[in-house]
Amino acid sequence: MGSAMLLAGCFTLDSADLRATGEEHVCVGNRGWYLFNIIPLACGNASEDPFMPWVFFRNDVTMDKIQRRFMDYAKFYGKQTGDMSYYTQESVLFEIPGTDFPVPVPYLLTYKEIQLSGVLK
Amino acid sequence: MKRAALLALAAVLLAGCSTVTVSRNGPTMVNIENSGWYLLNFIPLASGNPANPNGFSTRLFSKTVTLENNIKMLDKVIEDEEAVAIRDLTSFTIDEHILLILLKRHAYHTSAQLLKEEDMEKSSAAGATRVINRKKPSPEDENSTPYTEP
Repeated sequence: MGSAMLLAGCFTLDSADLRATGEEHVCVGNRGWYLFNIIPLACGNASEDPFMPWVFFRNDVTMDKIQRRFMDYAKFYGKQTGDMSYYTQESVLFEIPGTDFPVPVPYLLTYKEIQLSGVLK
Repeated sequence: MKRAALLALAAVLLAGCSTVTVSRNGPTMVNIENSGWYLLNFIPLASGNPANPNGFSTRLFSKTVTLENNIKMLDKVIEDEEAVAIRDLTSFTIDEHILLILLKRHAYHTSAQLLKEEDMEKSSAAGATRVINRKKPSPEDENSTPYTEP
């Protein structure tokens, strides 16, 4: 159970100031595990006031939810957005831990990750 | 002897790495990567040294793989390249797990296009942000710790 929670992935919102231009660079991301690529098992909690860092059986790894958190962050600081770019990663062959051998049934247990980075001006 | 060699090999393989690559074929592109190894998902073992990118130096038991450190490395590249503007700044992370949560490799990637004064006339300069702070760090700044650990 502990391993599952640690592997569940978590929602992250990182930011850093670029001294050269005075802009703020923000990177928002979320990850999660799915059964048959459809049924959400566990993922990071993308709510604004999360009770727990994870949510179970709810899909928070979506572009909508990640972009909403990004836009809310920009709105809170009264800044305009730019250079927005998505990075997604999906793994549909669950590998037996510690080996290079995937379970030979694709889409049985899948991992999905979405990240959005952008600049606040 | 064999055990020492294995330990040395493991240390090299587990060492973190911070890399700054600048490509000048056409537009000046910069790619920054900093990576590190974690035990049980949280305990940092070794990570790249952002104060000495592209060098064989590793920070042990410190968490240097952050967006903030990548942006500080980018600030230094902007100064070194004497860029006047920047565009298409993007970042993302990649995590790899070994034996579930026993070991994790965490890497932060940042890339951007840097523009020189002569590039500002071209159409590729559209949407770029001008560099406003070209001040070199003062001696006091240089003496302070430039890279942070959360």
